[in-house]
Formats: sequence, C-alpha cells, structure tokens
Amino acid sequence: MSDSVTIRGVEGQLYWGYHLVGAVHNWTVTRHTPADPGTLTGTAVDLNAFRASQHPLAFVVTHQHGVWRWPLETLQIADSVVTATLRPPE
Amino acid sequence: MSRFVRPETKVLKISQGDTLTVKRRLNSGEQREAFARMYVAGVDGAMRVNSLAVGLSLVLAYLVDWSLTDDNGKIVAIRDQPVDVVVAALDALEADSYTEIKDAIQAHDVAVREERDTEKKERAGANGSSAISPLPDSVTGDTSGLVN
Repeated sequence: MSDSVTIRGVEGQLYWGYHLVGAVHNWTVTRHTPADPGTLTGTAVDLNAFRASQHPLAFVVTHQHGVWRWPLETLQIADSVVTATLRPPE
Repeated sequence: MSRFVRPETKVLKISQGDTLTVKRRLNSGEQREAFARMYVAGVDGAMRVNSLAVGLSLVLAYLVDWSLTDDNGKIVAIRDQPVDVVVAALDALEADSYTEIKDAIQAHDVAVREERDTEKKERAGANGSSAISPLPDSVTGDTSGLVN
C-alpha cells in the first residue's frame, strides 16, 4: 500500500509571520513518504512580492475543525504557479 | 543589522486566564496607520488628535489574536479580520475588560519603546561616537581677536 498522501483544497493562505502574503488557489499538498513533509502546488493570487521574498513563510489552511499550518522550506513562483517544499506541520 | 521589522508576536496574559497575542514591534506602516486612526479633522480642516481614539488605535495596531470566548465558549475570531470586525468585537466588551486589554497593550508599547531606546544607546556606544566636547572657556575681552 502506498504511503503517499494528497490533500487538496480550494484556497489557502501564505503568511510571513502575521503578515498575509497572498492566497493559493486550487492547492495540493502531497507527501510521498511518512518522512517527507510534503510539497505544495497551486495558483498564487494577490501575492505581495516583498512579503513573499521574506522568511519564514507558512502555508495556512483554515478548515472546519481548525487550522493546518505548514512552514515553508522553499518557495518558487513562476507565472502564478506556486511550488513549495514544506516542513512538518505545526 | 536589518532595518526591517520581523513579524514576531508576543503573548500577554490578562485576567480570567485569557491571553492577547500582540505584535512584538510595529513597523513603520503600522505606526502610520495607528497615527492616522488617532487624528480627526476639526471644523477648520486642521487635523487634531482625538484623545478618545488613541487607546483604540494602539490596540488595533498591536492586537493580532486573543483567547476571549463568547457565551457559547467559542473563541471570538479576530485574527486577520477586517478592522471594522475587530472594532465591533472590542466595542462589545464590558468596559472593564476593554480597559484591561488597552492597559496591557499600552504597557507593552511602553516596554517596546524603552527597549528600542536602550538598543539605540548601545548602538551609539558601539559605533564609538565621542562625547560632545565641552564648551570652551569664555574668552575675555571685547573682541574675538579680529583686528580692523
């Protein structure tokens, strides 16, 4: 049985501390192995370029039962396409 | 040393086991917003400080989140909410509770300013700035020595 886990959502947010960086629409977080914190892909919307260049960043998703928060290890944005490697969720 | 303010937070404890999550420091934009909220235009068009707005402005500038709950025990959400939503929540508080929150944040603001003053003094000292030279002894005589 595969250890791969995929979570998808309509909208999440990128934060630099308490500063909103922007939204990520149609996002996917994929973890291939239990040891792999995961990768994020999605479409950047209304991204603040200055804040997006700062560290540390986090990807935050508010859901019915609370909040998921993944610190970002790396972030790349090209033509609004977001690709990020994640650290273990807080 | 970076000139940019890192968006770090600090937790302040208030009564009844509640906490306030506040910005550790305000950046220049947040300070300007706070000042803008404090000022109102008089009938002559001149901008004046609205003393009633000073405390609220500081609270709005610093407050990021809190643990306050409603009658159902659910935390009243203020994080990332529009200013008018946060104001509505603050306005709905009992007067004593609002005062306690305002006082806690004002005390934090004072502590931040004192910390900054100390940092500036230490930085000035580390840069080797020399003390201002003492004034020379007064010169006797009517002229400074110029000869016509």
